[in-house]
Amino acid sequence: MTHVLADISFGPVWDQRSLLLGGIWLMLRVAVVSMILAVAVGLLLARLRLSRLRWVSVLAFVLIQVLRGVALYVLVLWLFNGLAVASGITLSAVQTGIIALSLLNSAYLAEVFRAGFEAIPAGQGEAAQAIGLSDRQAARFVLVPQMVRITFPSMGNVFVDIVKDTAILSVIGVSELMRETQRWAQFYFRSFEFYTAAGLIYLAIVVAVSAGWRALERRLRVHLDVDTIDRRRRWRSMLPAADRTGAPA
Amino acid sequence: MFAYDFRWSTIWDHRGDLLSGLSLTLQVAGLAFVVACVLGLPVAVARMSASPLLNRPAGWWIALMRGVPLIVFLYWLYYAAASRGWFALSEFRAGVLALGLTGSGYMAENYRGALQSVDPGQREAAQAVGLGPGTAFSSVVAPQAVRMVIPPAINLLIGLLKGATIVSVIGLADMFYVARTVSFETFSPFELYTAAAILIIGVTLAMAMCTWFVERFLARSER
Repeated sequence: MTHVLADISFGPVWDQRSLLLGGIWLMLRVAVVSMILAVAVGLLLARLRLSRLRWVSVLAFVLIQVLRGVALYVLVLWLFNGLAVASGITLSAVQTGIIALSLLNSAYLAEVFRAGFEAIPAGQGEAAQAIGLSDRQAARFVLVPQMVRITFPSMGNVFVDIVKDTAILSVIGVSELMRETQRWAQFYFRSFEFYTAAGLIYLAIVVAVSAGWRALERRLRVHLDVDTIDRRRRWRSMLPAADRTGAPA
Repeated sequence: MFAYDFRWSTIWDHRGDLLSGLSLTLQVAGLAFVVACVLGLPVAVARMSASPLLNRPAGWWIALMRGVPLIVFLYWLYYAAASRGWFALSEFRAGVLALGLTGSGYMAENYRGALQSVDPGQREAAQAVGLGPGTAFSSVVAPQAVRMVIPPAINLLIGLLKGATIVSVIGLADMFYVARTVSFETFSPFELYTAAAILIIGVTLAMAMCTWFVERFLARSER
């Protein structure tokens, strides 16, 4: 019997480095666009959730809960193979992926933002009103900046999840890293080398993105006083207990 | 302009295949959850150990399991390992193992969070009244930690259930596999994918509602 590590060659992986790098580049672009859209939609959902109109708030709550129950793989397949065929609306695989990623993650962010807004003491909004700021100005200059500082670490977790989840878009043919890996693994009959390399690349990217986010967080912390740190603690205790730790994607 | 011909009866015609697909997904998720719970505990204990010989590898394990996407693990276990002739797993086992391994990284962190949330004074007090370290753990620390670990554990189970839908990519005959293969014959992908999606979302939502009740039940004695 031959040695278990005999005949392993990462040469083909190196030969295809430019296409794999292209896959990484596409994956990062999709992730960044999805994150920006998810934050925008998440803010909107959080605003609706905090609405004084009871039916708006309940509707937003139901929507958020349903979206949180949907698996990305299911939504992507449904949009791309189901809805697109039935409705005649043709979206590219990349567009479908971005829509699905941003929609599902907006629901997570909405809950994070909602708790973040609630963690800001009521006095802040009242003070903004007292000095004559309009509701929109109060949101823009007083409430949102504080909410962002409180919830920043959780936003980083969501971004890392989005980066990891782009791998699922390979099933509809988005030629990101996983798709390129599958293509070349089959071409060279070198599954072991290509999938091992892909796993290590994903790990490196996830570690780098988390480290980058923490560096951003430190820069934000220049303005982070003891009060905000205390508010962050209050905010975490306002999240449902199940949300305080992650689940796999 | 072509018009899509809706034939909702295809769902009913293939209800047996769809439901057995759902049952497969539930089995994969359930077994993976057991693997994650069993494997996560020693990892958590090692992670909390003072010795770098134990806590470093445990930290790497957690980073690896949480940092690599599930679909990559799935392909690695199903295709890569088999291509080397190390071991060949069935689609079902590869799915359970891939989900269980990733889950173990998350579960280890859940255990650690729960154990660390128990005030150290509890253990010290238990030892001060004369309980041995083992008894102090099993009758004072553990019962408090278990209550803390249940909500994130159910959350993990929901995550695993959502993750288990991916297993059809390696050919397990779950609902999405059925939807794909049947729609080749009937050309009704919309109806079949919608049915599959509604079924799995229904199960996930039902489980999410359980967490609310469990959380409320566990919080009842907290002040």
